[in-house]
Amino acid sequence: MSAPRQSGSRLARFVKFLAGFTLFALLLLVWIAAAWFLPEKHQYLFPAPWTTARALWNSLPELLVSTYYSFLILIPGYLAATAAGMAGGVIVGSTKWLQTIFIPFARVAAPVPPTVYVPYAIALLPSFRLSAISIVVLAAFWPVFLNAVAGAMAVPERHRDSARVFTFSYLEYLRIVAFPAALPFIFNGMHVGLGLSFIMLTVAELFGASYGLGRFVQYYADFADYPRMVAGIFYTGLVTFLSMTALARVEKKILFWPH
Amino acid sequence: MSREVDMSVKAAAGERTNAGCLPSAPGELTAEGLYFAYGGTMILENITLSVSEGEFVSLLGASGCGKTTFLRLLAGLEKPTRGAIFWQGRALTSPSLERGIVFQEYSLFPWLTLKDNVALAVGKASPGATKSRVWELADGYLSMVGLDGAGKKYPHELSGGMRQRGAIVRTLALGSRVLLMDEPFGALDPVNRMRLQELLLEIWSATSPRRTVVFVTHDVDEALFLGDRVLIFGSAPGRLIGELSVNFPRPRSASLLFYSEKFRSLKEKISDYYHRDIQNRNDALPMNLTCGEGI
Repeated sequence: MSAPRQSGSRLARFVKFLAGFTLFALLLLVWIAAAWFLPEKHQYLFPAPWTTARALWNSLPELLVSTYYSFLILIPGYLAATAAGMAGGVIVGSTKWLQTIFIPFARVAAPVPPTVYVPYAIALLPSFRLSAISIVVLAAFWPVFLNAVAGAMAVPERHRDSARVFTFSYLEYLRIVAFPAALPFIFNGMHVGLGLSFIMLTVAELFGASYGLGRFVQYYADFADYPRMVAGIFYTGLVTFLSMTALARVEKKILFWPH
Repeated sequence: MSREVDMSVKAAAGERTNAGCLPSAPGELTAEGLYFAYGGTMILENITLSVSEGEFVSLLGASGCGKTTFLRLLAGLEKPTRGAIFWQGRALTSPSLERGIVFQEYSLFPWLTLKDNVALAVGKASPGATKSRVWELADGYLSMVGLDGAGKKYPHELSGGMRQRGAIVRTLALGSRVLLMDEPFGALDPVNRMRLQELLLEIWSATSPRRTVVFVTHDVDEALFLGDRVLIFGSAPGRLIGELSVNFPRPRSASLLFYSEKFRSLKEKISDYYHRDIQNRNDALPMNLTCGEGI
């Protein structure tokens, strides 16, 4: 119902857009100044912006390959977790007797920090990729699942009533009413899940990957190549940011109704 | 809860109280000795009434008097604590397509277009129909309420009046023989409200056989303008305190009706019912608790 509010003129909006870069610019200035005034012996641990930029440019091919390998873990893991979480969550949230079974378990299992599973998953599963994927699944599943449960439990009463008057079957209710009604909750869970997925991905890669973003950072840290390592940190931050933005775009497109 | 109230209910309900013992007419919706309690509070107390097929009944009551609960009981969405509701001679146990419900706002599924909402109902009403037939019927329903061009729009893209028209026509598309309407025009501005009242009467008179309508409202004018009969609910707990026949000729015109002598006298009768109810309740209180003493 509410149209996006146009705040002020085009110029005012441009100024506002620029203002968003204030902190970035300020930090960059501090960095430049620090690099300028720092004695040379420390510059080894604390690379200057231009050194880092050159390292970033030089390692770009390697970073792209790392991204590819990381996404080979992240995407299947995240998608599997999301699919399982939303399906399971909507079913459990719509079914009283399943709630009595699943919710007590979820209360205990969900808060376990997924990082503790990493060594065991690597020991247990035959390949690194498989163990890393399962770690990402474990991390992303719970937020999606718990939010889907909450969303399905919060279906407005008038929609439940309508569904009963329509004499929907259980499956029809799930598909036509509970799932769309729970979608705003599910997306909340997906945002949290994506953040956790990146954390778990990079943590897992520190342990045993041959390629990957986390592995890249770890590798050059081992060789004390700090310009490349810092470049890797920046690059990973950018990839995470872009992934989050992409998800937000998808959400905006799918959740077009007021919720 | 004084005896007199119960007496007056029985008097008001007249022979209808006895009708429960007789085999009821087909299509008749009957409540018999209905009680509903929720969390230890009595919401509805001893309601006995019947609505005949094709009748338009207004159910008038203050906010929170339990009229929405009563409507949900009629729909089969709640189970009575005591007593029963009979529909077509059988005790009602669950909701069905036969008794569609329209809420005050946002009845339509917001994630489906208007036409998808209606088509969903059409598909339920005629499960064997082909897809193209379902769409065709949905279009027909939409044009019935003047929403021809709006089928592709989502509920949030429609005005409040259009949404309510959509909600009404979705219920018609279910093939419901009883329309249960819970203050369906309560959130509309006065102009739209009047338009929709007239539209509702138009649709109701145009279909044959006529559908039964139970229309819940807290607006006295609306209740009188629409109904063949007005059932008056008292509060805490909700119970029937009176009943009026409204035999204005149809089609009715709001502008003529509202200034007629008859209309005014019916309004007076309704306020009499409420005054008597308040009086009875005050009498039932111990003397030292009587409100408004010395005013």
